[in-house]
Amino acid sequence: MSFISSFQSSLERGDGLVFNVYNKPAKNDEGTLVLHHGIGSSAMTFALFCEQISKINPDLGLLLYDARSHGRTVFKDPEHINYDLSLDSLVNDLEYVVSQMVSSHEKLLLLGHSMGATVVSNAAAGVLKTQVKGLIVVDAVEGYANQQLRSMSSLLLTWPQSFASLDDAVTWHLTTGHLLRNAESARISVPACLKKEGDYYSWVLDLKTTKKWWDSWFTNLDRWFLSAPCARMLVLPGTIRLDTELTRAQMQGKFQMQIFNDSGHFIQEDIPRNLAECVSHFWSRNGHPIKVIPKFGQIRQ
Amino acid sequence: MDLETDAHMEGSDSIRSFDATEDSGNSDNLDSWLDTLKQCKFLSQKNVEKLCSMAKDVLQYEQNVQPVQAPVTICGDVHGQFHDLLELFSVGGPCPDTNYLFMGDYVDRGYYSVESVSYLVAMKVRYPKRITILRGNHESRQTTQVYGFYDECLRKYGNATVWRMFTDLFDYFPITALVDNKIFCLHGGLSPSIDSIDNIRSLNRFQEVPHDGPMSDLLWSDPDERSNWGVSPRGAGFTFGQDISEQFNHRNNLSLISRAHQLVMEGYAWSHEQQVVTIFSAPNYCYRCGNLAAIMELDEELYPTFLQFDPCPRANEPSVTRKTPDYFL
Ligand SMILES: [Mn+2]
Repeated sequence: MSFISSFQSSLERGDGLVFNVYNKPAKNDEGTLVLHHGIGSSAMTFALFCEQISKINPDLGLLLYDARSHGRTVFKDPEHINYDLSLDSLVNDLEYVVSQMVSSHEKLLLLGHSMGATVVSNAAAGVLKTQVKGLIVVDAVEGYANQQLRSMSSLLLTWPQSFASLDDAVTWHLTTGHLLRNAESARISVPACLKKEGDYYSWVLDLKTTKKWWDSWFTNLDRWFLSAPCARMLVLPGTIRLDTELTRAQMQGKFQMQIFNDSGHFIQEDIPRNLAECVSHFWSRNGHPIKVIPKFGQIRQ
Repeated sequence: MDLETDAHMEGSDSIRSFDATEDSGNSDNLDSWLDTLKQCKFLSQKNVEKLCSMAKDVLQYEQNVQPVQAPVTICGDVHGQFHDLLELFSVGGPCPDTNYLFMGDYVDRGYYSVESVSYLVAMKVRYPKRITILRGNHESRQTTQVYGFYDECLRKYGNATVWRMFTDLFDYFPITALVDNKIFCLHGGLSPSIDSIDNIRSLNRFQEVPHDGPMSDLLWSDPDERSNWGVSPRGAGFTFGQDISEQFNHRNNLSLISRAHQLVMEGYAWSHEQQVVTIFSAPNYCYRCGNLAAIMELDEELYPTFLQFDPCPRANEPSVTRKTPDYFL
């Protein structure tokens, strides 16, 4: 059992979509951190991170869920195949889950990993902008992502269709697949991406079938990130991923950038403690009134 | 050149030879070191050690608010773009004929941080009264480990000793300068913990750039269109409005705050109704931003003239290699 499992619940929407949700309510007006995973992953990618940030900031609320067609989020009617992973649908889902689980007066800190970053950035610049006080993008950069997507089909061809056991799947993620570096996290996150079919474990979501959305998943990410009217942070595993737009904006001081050279793409899994410290520090700076008393002039809160 | 792929530099660094002045030990060799550096060849580790030790002897006596006399030419971020730094000196005129004041950020991002900072430090030791080098937020142990200078030192010297020598030296750099008591120069901007120039004089600057507090603010803050103080989106320092700049300049009898730190497409930009000027001296920043660079000449009457320049064409742009694609969905 991971730390976050004790906060698990189901949330059913009118159209029969049943979200697998994890919600730890905020205390003392600390606000809620809303997390969105990337495509092919699940809420469990944040399991260790949530445990760590709760140790640092026990009052901070946590809200995360498996996106549609991911993890344990399913349509009630098994015949219903509403296989729609468009950005619009994912943003609508986010807005719905937030509206059901968190008071509209509560301040929000949104964090999205990989394609989940496009979902939260779109919401922070749009439907949720009055509530959002902070936006964190974890390893997603429009120019870099679109470039990587050109070789994604051939990369996915090298992935196994299924695994003989969960242990095999975990090992593959840590070795051949080069996806994860933290075994403790992999043992929690990998099983959540798999389903048992006969004697085998296969992917909950077959990524090859999502190709039609690839081009749209990162388009305008930079623009939404930079236009969200709140504090912004970009967390990357290396500076080389910055595209021209973000290089310019960063050098104009428009957002905070945090680089972890000792991590892979899944920063929240590889170094959960470091990311939790970084997110917690960001929120203490940007989610609360400034404590400094200026020697002259006023502080704008 | 495609920088957006995961890349590492190939070739030229490892085969480029060290300078041949291995055994020299006194300042007579500064000119030969400068000649070596001008050819974009880096100094031997031994000579960097000598250079840093000589530089400490000079910089330790400089003040937190280093007095500078006009005429002087004021420059902003360099970020390891060494060929553009040489272009800057050809646009602005050779030192010591022209006096220079650099406002920090010599290292990180560009491919020649070692050459750039070695050259400026050697110039400082050679012409201590003619050139002033302030500290930027990138002249720090923490920042350089993330943004390139540390890796470049490892690549060029095979160990971290040169990085350690330079980052130890950065603690000695003055943090602000004052031209003829009228123009206040620094890397970032103002701090809500500082209302007078005298406040800065009482800081202990001989340390790593702290995460917060007045010294950090001076190296990290930015002017803002909104009034008052605000939290900086950068994660360190503050933003300050025109009202703040006006009050600070009035209290300290200043005519202008001159600073760097932000990319501006024309190489320089006025703000706060000419109470603040931003100068950025790295053209086409990061080899991709398409901006002009600029420097600001101040004459004896402190009248400013801006000289803009384009990136210098390079003979040997470092090549990059592609890595296997990363999973990215
Ligand atoms: Mn800077």
